[in-house]
Amino acid sequence: MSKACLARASYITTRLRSSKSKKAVCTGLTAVLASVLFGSFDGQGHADPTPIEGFQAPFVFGRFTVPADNPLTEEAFELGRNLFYDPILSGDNTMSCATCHEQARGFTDGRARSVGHNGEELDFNAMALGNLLWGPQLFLWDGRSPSLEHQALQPLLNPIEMNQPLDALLDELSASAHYQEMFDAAYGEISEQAVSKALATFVRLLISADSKYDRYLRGEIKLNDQEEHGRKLFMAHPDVKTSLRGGNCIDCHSQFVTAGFAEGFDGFSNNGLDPDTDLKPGLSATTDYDGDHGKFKVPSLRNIAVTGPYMHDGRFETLREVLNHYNEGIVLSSTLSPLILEADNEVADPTQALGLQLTEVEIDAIIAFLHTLTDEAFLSNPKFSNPF
Amino acid sequence: MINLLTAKRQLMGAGLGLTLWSAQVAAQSPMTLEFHAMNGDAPFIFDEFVHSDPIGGEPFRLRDFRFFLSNVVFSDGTRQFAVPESYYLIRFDGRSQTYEVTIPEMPLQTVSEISFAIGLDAQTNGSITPRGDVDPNSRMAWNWEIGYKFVLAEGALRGADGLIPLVYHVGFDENMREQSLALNLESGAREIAFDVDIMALFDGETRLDLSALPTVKMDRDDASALADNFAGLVKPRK
Repeated sequence: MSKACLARASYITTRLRSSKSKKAVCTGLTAVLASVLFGSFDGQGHADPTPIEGFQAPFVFGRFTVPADNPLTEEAFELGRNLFYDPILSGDNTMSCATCHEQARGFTDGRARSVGHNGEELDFNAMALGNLLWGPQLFLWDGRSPSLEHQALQPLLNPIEMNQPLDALLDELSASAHYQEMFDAAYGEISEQAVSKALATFVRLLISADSKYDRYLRGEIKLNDQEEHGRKLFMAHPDVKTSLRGGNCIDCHSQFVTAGFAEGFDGFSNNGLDPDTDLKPGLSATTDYDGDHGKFKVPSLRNIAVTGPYMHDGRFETLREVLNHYNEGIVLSSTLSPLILEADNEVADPTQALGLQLTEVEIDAIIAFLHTLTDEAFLSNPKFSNPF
Repeated sequence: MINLLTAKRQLMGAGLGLTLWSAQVAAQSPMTLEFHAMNGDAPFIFDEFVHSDPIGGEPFRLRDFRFFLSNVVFSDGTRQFAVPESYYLIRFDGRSQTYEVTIPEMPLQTVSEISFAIGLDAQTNGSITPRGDVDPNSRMAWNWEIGYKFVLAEGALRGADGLIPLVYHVGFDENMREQSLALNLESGAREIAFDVDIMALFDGETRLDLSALPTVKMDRDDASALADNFAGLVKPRK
């Protein structure tokens, strides 16, 4: 927590208010300033990279951390963007990151499960990319990557994804005058670390904050009646005793970021997809802790309307199918979230709750609210697009 | 535990020259608060059906127990030190039954009393600005119109007819509870250990029948009864 930073722009005010915030900004700034103060990378007279300062992020997203050894710079971002879209990153030079992460689809691929370089289907759905400075700082569905830098190389190294030996990649990059220049400007060298750092920087700066919901949070617009109804349901855990109806979304998806919670393993959950006999290890493969069996990363819902199919294995085609699951399809298992098991809008018998039991009108309202999370400016932002 | 830790510090102090060491402590020194999850006198076990419903007797398990501890003030009998921005989320689960909070600077030499709140003051509870461990995008957030959960306990009870999920989310401004604890510490002690008797939530002034009241969330009467139960949650470690 102490190393965290607060975003400097704000929905409510444009200035940081508390002393905590003042301290918090330092990490991000120190990281940037360090590269300025210490000058060139290797003493051979390379120009300093240009720090990215004051980028816009809503203060309601909260604190974030940028690794001190990979400050945000313009050169790193541009290099990362080039690498992200370049098939040179796959062993047979047919696939780039963007093959499975298309901008117009919120950086997903529209498939239930992604397909690797040789046509083989993977086990998992391509995760959407956006606002990854916030939410869980463990990456991939099972949380096995402790940083975006680590995550960036995993698809390359996987023989059924991009199948790219790193030494061969470094040879290919070194043979390119274009990349020699870009790496030199960003990191002073072509290396495995520089590849991962540049990709992480690009992904880190894919910030979506101009959806209808964001404009609502900034007080610029009102949601329509159906969207507002859906927002209220999204934010409420149902309580039959007090006649509070709820969709229970906020128990896993935070209210502003809409991703899983950032702290520790709070951003991972078993949401009742499978019985014990069919549960995949999920987070427990990373933590080796039985209580994590069958838990998967809770993804951001930003741009969710364009990132289907849904769930870690893409089993649901549409948002309606997702809502039907939570409404009537919860499957019991040993690590199922008590919050999901308990959440019910109708039945008082707690042993019988297997879904939310929302009405059709309420389901439509939640889906309408989920559509307010689509950020057209993000999906078509030229800065995030293919540079080639 | 306290005695052991203090003894260790004193040995270190003797090595450095006790006078000098004491002066340093008084000027600027961290203070560590150590919390232990307990069921009565025994360490609390998570994720296993080893606890008993105080009335019905059915076995239950918890996967988490968390609470906000805020507005910490130390006193040496005459002077007080209020820890700035002290908003801590104390968290226990199957991974960890102890939780440490380190306060970077605590200028009092001798502490004879600590006071704090369980829960959040109304100003913080009504704000969406992150403050200490208070984070509007965290699991303790209900939503920005209601505020935060002050105390969270989640688990399951094995009833006659099947598994009953247990969800206790206690919040609302009126349910913040303040505690003052007299401490019997040696001069210069820089660690204080506390017991957190989780069962106190269910078995206090109000004794709960968990199978009859497996969840408490928005009902103000239920929430207030649990708040009275957690009012004495934290005690100096035995």
